Amino acid sequence: MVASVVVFFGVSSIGDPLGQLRLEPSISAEALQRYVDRKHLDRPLLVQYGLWVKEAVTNQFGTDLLRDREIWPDLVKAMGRTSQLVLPAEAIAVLFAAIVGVTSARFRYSVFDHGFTLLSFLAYSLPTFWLALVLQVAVTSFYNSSGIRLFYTAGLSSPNPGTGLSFFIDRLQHLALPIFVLSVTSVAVYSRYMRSSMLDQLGSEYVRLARSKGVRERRVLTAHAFRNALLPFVTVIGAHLGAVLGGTIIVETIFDIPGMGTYFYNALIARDVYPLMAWLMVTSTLIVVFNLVTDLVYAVIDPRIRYE
Amino acid sequence: MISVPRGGRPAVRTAMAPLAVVSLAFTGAFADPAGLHDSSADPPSGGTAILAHEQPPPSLNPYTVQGASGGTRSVAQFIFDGLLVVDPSTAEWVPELLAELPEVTEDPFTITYRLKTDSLWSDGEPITADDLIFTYDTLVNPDWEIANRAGYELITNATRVDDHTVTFEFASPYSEYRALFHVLLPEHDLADEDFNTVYDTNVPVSSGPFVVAEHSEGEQVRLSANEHYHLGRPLLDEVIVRSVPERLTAVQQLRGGEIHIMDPQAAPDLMDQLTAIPDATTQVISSLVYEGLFFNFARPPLDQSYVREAIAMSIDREAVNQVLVVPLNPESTPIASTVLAPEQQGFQDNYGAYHADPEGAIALLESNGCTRDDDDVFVCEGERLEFGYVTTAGNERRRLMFELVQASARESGIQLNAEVTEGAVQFGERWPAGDFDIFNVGGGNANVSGFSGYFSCEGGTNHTEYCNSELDAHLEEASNAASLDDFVAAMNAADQELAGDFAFVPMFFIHYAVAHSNDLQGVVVPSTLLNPGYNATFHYRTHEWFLAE
Repeated sequence: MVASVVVFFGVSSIGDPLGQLRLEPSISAEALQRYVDRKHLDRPLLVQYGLWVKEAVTNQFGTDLLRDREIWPDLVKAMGRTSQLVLPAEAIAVLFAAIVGVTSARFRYSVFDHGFTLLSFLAYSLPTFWLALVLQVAVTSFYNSSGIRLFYTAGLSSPNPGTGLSFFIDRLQHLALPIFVLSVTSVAVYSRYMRSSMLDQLGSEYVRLARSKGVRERRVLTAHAFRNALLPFVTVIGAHLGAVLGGTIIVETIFDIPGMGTYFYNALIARDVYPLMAWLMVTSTLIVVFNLVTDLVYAVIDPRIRYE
Repeated sequence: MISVPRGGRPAVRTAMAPLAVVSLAFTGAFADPAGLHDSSADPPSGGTAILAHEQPPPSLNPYTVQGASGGTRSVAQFIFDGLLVVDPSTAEWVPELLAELPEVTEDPFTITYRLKTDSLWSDGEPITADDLIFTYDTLVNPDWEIANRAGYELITNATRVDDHTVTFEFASPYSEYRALFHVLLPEHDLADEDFNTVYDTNVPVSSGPFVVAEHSEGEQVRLSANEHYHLGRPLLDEVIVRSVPERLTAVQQLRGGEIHIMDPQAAPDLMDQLTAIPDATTQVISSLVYEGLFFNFARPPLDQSYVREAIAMSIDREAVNQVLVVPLNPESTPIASTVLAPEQQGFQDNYGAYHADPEGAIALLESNGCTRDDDDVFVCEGERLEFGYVTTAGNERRRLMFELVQASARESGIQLNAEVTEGAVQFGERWPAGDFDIFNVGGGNANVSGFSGYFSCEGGTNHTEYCNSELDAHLEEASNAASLDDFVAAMNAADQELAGDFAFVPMFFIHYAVAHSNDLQGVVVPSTLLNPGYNATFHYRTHEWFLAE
């Protein structure tokens, strides 16, 4: 609720949402007045906010400013497209980061550890948009030199993607690059936390005890240290969701994916506070839900934790 | 026009068709980019061409869409035909859905349209006079949120002469009548529909070469060939209009064969990338949309003509042109007329006094009693010649322009300070409130409504307090002109008034680019976009586009 107030008043106070329209001589005063009337733009901001709350609660966020289109159906579509991007990216990032983190901790200060430490810092510091553009150039150059279409540079599907397996492969070819770009930063962050967490566990007394009892190293790692190391790892994943959703704004814009990120970008460019507010409410809810899921996962990972 | 086939550096093409007597509202100048129209060849049919446009269409309705309408135009031009269209070979308006040019009478001012008798809608129904009258009724119906009713509101009577002929009577002459009815609406499909929403996402029945087959909102619009198209079935089976907001992505897509054609706003760095693509042709289209600096007459000493003149003389428009425009179009020069392109008959240099002359500016200020202060800035009648220059945040072109303008003005003892403002504040607050000294904004004087909006005393977007009744009278004459000659003469006279008042400084015309794969042939790109309406862009005769085998 606080966020909605901040965003509504913040975005509304930036400037007149009809500013660009007012510059166009071809837009009649009558047309401009329709926008003002439709969203009560001549009323005080507090009243406008109140009317927005009413619309959001009773009418699924109502309509946008410029097109008078219903917001909720568009948002649902966008969420569906973004989930095709975010879920695989996060799954890959979690899996890869866990493997890298555990291996780095197990072989601390080895070439592998140093190598992945370097790569992690590199990946974390790479600007997402730069990586995306470089990959697009590389993939296009590969296609032009070899004639083999490994991946597409943008969009969700080809003009005629077919059905079944053909459709799946086509979608994969389109989403591979954005998924990779989105997962790179997550891998960098998660793997560092996993390594650190594993090192804590590997240095603890119960691990030393297990080793002294002759428990095999693989079992020490997987059944004892890894499971306990998962708790902070899961916490980081939950907390990182906001950054991932933020990352989709850049990734979806560059890779031309009409998901939540593009929805936010377009609304911001249009200075349309209504879809922006809906986006904010949905993403806030998602983050809250994801944190709740994270808490529930704690109980699964560590049987000592129980919620009453 | 610049044409760059197969990855070379831009080479100037001078194959400009001789232009007839035209106004910018009446015509366009086009050229065949690479001799692609070989009528002796038998072009292959079939295939899908993909167009990348920066914006998705907010709606498919060209009459109600407002604001970012480029996305709508990019689709509408494939699916709607109008009564008239500009023919590239003659650069004149020619009939499209009409059997002949409209018949015009002067007193009273009437226009008689005779539709082709064999044209069909995409569903096979005939296109008749009833559709034309229905279109008119729709456009003047107050229930519908029509973006611009200019011209239609002057019609006092519509008479159905026969099945394919309609006569419209106007309350007063309307010189821009050729741009009316750029889209015809099917009565049998729309009669009981809500016109505000019916074309939001789909257009079931249309008159153009393609029809909407599928619309994935925000993503792409798939268009399929109109089997009943009045000029014959299109050679392509499909056209897909895809929204690709990131230009650099679109460049890679063109390079990798994922799209066939794109139409971004031209910029030097973008052009370098486009022209480096092998097997693609890049062409630059100049326009009559200008970048200009507007003076606020309500802010002394800008109310003094000699101060505005001195500023105009201090600005090195040639240097700005060299840096920002010549890399796109080597033939470009600083704006000499805001109403006509140099290649148009009737063109005259109205802004000769605006050439850079720092010494002249200094002499002018000194002759009016201005003196320099300790910072070498002139002070006139107690007012220091130091002005805020409002420009748009994040706009690289405008940033560069400011730096060049500031440097040259400083040589003449005039200090300009950048007030870099976020677009919504700049256009939504500061411009309407008149909260500026000098304001950088784009505009177009090509037609009466654009010109009068900014510069008429009662102009809806005039926030500079500039007012010249003679200019208004000339625009009124232009609006009511019954002949092209009269129209051009009146527009020139208005432009001369504007120039003589030093009401603003026109800097340069904005350029657009069209880049297409050489696989896609039959694309005809205008060298100058004189009428940024629906009938004068590269979408001309898209039913003749084809993919090379």
